[in-house]
Amino acid sequence: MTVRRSSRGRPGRAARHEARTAWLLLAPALLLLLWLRIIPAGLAIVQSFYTSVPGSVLAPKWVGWQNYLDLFADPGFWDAVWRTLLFAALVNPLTMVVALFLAWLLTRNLAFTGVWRTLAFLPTALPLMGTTVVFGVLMRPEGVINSLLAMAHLPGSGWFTDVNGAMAALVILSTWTAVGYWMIFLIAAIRDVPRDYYDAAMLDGAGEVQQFFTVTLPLIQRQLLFVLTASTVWNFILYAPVSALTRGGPQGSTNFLMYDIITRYYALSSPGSALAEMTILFILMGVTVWLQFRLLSRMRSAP
Amino acid sequence: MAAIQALEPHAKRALARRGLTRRRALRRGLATGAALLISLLFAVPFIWLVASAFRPVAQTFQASVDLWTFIPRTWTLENFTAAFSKGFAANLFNSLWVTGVSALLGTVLAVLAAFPLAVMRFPGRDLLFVVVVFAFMIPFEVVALPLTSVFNQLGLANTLTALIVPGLVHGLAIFNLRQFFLSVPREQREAALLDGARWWRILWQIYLPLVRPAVIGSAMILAMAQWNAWLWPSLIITDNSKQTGAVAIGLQDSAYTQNYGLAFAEVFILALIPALLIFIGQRTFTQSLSHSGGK
Amino acid sequence: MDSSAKKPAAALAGLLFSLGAASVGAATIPAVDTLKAPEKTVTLNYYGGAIPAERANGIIAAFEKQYPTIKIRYHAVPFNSYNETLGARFAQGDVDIFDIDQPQSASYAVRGWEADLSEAFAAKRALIDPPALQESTINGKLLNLPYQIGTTFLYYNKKVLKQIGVDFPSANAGEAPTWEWVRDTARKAVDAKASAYGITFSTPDMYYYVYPLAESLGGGNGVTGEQQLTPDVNNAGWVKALGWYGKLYADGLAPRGVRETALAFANGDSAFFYGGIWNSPSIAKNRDLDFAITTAPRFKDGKDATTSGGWALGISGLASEEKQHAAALFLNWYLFGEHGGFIAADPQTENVPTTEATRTVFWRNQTYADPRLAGLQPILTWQAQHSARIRPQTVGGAEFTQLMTGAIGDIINGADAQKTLDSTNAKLKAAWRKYQ
Repeated sequence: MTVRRSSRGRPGRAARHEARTAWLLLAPALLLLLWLRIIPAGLAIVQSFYTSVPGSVLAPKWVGWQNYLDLFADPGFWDAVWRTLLFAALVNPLTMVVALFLAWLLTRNLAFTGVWRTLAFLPTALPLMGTTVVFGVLMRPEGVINSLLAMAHLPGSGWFTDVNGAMAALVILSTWTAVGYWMIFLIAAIRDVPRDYYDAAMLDGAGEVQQFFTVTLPLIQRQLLFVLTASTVWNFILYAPVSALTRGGPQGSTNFLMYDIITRYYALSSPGSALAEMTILFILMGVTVWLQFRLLSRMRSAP
Repeated sequence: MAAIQALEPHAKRALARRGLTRRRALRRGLATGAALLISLLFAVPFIWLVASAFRPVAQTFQASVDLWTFIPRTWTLENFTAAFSKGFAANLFNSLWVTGVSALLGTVLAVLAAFPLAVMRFPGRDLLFVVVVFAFMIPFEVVALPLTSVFNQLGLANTLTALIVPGLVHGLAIFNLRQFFLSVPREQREAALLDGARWWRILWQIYLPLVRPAVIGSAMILAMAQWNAWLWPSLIITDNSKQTGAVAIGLQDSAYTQNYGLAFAEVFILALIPALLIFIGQRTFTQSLSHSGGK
Repeated sequence: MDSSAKKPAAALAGLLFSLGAASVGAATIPAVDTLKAPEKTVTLNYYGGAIPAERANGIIAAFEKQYPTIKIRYHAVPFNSYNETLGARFAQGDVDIFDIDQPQSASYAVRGWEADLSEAFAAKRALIDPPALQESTINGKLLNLPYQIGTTFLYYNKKVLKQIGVDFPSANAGEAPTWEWVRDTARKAVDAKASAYGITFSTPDMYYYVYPLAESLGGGNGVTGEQQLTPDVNNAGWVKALGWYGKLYADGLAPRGVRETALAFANGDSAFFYGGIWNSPSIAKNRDLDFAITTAPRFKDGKDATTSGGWALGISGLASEEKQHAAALFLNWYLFGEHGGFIAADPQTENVPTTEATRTVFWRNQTYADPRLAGLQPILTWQAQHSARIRPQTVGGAEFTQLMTGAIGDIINGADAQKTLDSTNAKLKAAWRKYQ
């Protein structure tokens, strides 16, 4: 048996061996990182400096920054940026609040907990295209949702046919789909909070609701933020419902960046312009994730 | 007041306990009721979907909305037979295969990546962690367009491999596993090293059993992402028979006919499998993401 | 076909050449009668969007019986996103045969997707209807083989009209009702609650169903200029036509957000349905529906204008010579095969084919003997000869489809016609700059 000479720091050879092993274990992930993120991102940036007519035998033409300049000069592009950010600002907090509420509710002492959790998770089990088709039919102006709202004496909406309603409809669709999934994560987070904290709060006379705000919320904030980050990136790339139900409309009100990119690439046959926009989206998402991670590192986590 | 004070202490306690129990039961009932109501709200589109899958499509598109909207007037399996005669079984198999392989290989990958990033020490580790998770938190759909040309040139277009590979890494899965690895007490690692154990053994025999719930959790995360993937398969797969179930739903759309009934049946089938899995395993899944669960 | 199309066509060819379109200089496929079936098995990929996959596979099975060494794999391309998805498939590079919506002929040519079929079908040209040939021919080169050409007309629900006391429109071909009369009748039907909707259009936001309205008011088909790259969708005729169209939805006569409009009419939920012959199988399936048809409407002070064009088959200009020859044999069988080619193999064919021989087989279909469809053939013939207007033949077809669909959809959902069309016109100009 070898006896280590010092408790702090390991001898050079062992440390090098550790580093080598670490890199070896990381090798597959790093390879995929190269293949699935760095190379395509690089390709996109390079191709964004060219313009071409798809399939033509003429070589793509170098235009330098022109694609980006055209993009920045295009009010449609800025509209898409604004729409994407607006959608993110609406849907992510809503999803978090509902997921958190459900997670809290379904960690109370209930009967048939398993059933409720499964029902809440059901929307996530539906493939997104399926949800899209279903909501597309249910949310018609004379559709089921409006009829049910009318029965409850609530105002209906044009939903996907209305300039303002379309964004709302997509918010509802996204929230409905994702809430069950994030709820599972938050349930786990809530259950991680040790009982002692609750007992202490109860001794102080705090009710259940108050306990949630003073005990639960602070102690799960790290997981909550992490889930928020994941939800944000998922909503940034939302494509299927836009493509199938609104095509960016009505009047461009749901023309999110992801949809705009794909449309520019194929339907409007401007791959250079599309990839320039894609690079911008990539940066936008990177900044968002980065910011949220900075916030994450400053937070306390549950012990 | 005086009557209560006249009671024996243990009787007083019993009375108080009964009151507490009743209040607790009332709260429990209310909460269950709320859960029921909310779950029903969630379930409305799903109920409609199930009804639409089992009835002739003409009935689904009646202009009027009534009770029959949610209960089929005529029950039929014609949508399902149409779906399977169209070759949906192949699509379903593709979805299952791709999801299964991605979850399996992806979990192995996540373990191999999370372990060094959490447990091992080497220069640049923290920076690398940020880069890795950061990069994989950005979904590959963002780079789907240039990725198609990459896969094209590698001759991987229109293959199941092309569907599996991008689904192998998921930022959430790696992050989650790393959190679990971090929560294992440092002493385990030190003791093992003192014993002269090799890293592989440390991972396999010591850490892995302790983080088993997280392994399941990562598998679930990867599986859900692949099961529902839409944009990438629709771009990279040209062969209808190699297509996944989620994208196959849209293939019923042709110029002269759109068969919604088919789509409903297919959506229903695709939702059934994860729904069943979750019903059976929701407790495990929740535990798998919770540090205190399963201990 | 009139001579006014010759000048733009010539300029179009010049444009294609300067953009380096592969098809203009590519090796052409020799006359199809000189081609022989390959000795070794060849597998071709066929990307289509006209009919459901099961029926396409039925047609292919019949072909493969005749040509055992040619195997064809059919892949459905969702019609909703046809251009985009087809573009993605061509990017993968394994397309051999594909369905073409005729107005896209020039647009696909500039992408180098279409092989030159002039020599291959030179001997058979005479058998194809001239109007169908016109849209597939760019400067004398036949770039795809049109196999179906149809048109739209008006279906009406007799029970509803009886209920509100309105006389049926004329059953004689050429005696078209006016759009104003249709709207007023629809109004009466909805007000009397005789039907849920007054009128539905087959695919509400598709240019194909809407351009006859603009043509009737003298707005042209939306594209002008020598190179067919000058958008003209915001002229008076277009603005008036689409404004009128949008008002139908705003006034509750036509339903917003409903896509399965044929089904709605078949269910008896609509007084009128503006659709094509391809909708008749699903409508006639409802034996209890009391309906009839009449010539497509025109505006009171306008001209008769009806749709034209249809589907064609193209051979990929990027495929190998061996595959192109095999594909040519498939196209040849499709339209000129014994007993009616594809028609014989697909009894459910719902649109009129383009040769005399296949048409004879087509009209034998019992669906079209339905008494409720009386007058169908005369109407189609009259419209083809008198009022058919072809759609724009522009290299910018893909952008045109995308932007017009968006514009029409917005107008349906309440946007102002003038503003929307002005902005669409500007967007088209910008999108087409790269072709000029």
